[in-house]
Amino acid sequence: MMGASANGVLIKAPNFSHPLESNPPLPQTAQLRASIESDTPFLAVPPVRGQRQGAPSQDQVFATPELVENVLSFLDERDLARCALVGRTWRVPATVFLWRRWSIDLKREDQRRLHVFTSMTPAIRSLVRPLRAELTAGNNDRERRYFSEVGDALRHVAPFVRDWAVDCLAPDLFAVWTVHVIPAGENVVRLRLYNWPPIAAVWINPLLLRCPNFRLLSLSEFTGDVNLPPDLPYLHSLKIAERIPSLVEFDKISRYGNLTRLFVAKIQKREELEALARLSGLTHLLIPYCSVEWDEGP
Amino acid sequence: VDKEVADRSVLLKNMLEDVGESDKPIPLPNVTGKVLKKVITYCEHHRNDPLPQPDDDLDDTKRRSDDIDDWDADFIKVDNDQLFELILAANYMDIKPLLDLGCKTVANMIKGKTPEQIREMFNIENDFTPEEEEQIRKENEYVSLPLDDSMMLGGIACLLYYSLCIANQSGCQHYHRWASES
Repeated sequence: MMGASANGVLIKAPNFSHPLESNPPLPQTAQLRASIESDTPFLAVPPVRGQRQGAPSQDQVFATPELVENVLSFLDERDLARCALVGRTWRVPATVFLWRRWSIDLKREDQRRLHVFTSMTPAIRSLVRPLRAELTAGNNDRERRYFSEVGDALRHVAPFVRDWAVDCLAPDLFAVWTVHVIPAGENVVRLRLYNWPPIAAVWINPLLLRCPNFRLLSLSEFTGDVNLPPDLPYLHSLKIAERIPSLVEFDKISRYGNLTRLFVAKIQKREELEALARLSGLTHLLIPYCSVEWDEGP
Repeated sequence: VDKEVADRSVLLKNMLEDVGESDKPIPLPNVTGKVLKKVITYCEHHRNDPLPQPDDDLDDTKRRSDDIDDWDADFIKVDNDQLFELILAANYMDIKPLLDLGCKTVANMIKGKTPEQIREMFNIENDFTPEEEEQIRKENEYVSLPLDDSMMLGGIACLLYYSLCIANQSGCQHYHRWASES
């Protein structure tokens, strides 16, 4: 019975000798370990136990990657950076967690994190699999110098990211971002777009169409040429902070049946408000700067 | 053990479903009696908690280790040996909240410690070569440096502020002396 699968739940056999042979919790971790094993000689060596040895139960915990991962998941960046230096079995999960949240902010002077990424060996780079990513970029000359480096990084991380926050005024970089996100659109469940370049609708429209799994969508801008997708079956939170010029878009919103939180700014017409009234599942609704005249009724 | 208590463990729950209602004992070859007793104590205290839902993998980026309640904190006050045995048992028997409690406790032991202190605490051998260590240090430098820089700037700003105050004060004193002399 042990080690067999009962009702689809895998029972973990606790006593195995080598972390690389264990059942990894996620398929992607397995892949990641395999790539480490083949690319870097120093990580391929199994952890050697010398004179120093703790209790057997403790050694067993630290030799089990999913348990080390569980412990590390509770630590912040500074602790993770220190944990990466403890020993080989800690290095891989600590690095994975360090890069879980990936952020590039070109408005800052300090671009060390970007440079570290650029100069990584392929094996270590394969550990960078962020779930959340933030991109902040203006369009001045100092920032433009980093664009090719950022494009390279975007190509690498886009397939993993499920939660994007993007504030990008440069049209070319914005286009590069959408090009890398569109093929992995099904992975994206949260998207927050802050500033975008004036002609961005040509990239935003296909992007929105290729991301059917949004749970959260937040747009700080909106223009007449932006088209919301006709159907977003999983969307439960929508925020649009700018005037939506067309009633067609309001009709689409009214058909997002799973919406519970809705923020729509600058409503000007009664019909727009009436369209939203068709949403029955809302628990949170905010309509700031609404200028519809109040109707007292008969 | 009550079924409600046993259901805390996904392993036992599935086994019980396979076996059906019976009084036959279920063998747990990988858990010692002492640890099992501790595990049962935990499951009995938490018998009415909602069973954990499979979590959204996005949320594990904000897992916290400072939300252990008093009973749990007291429960997990055991020596290292027993702590790790509990973690192994919780992992084997698939009791997620207990596993998380154990891992949180280990995480709290690690917090703020240097790599050497962590190795010492858990008797882990440093199996890196000096070159590897240097490489990892370089890779993760960006994590610790920015904060140190800003702290230094803050220090300079403070010094500047204080010297201004002192200058100001002595200026006033001069003025007062001059005023009283005249």
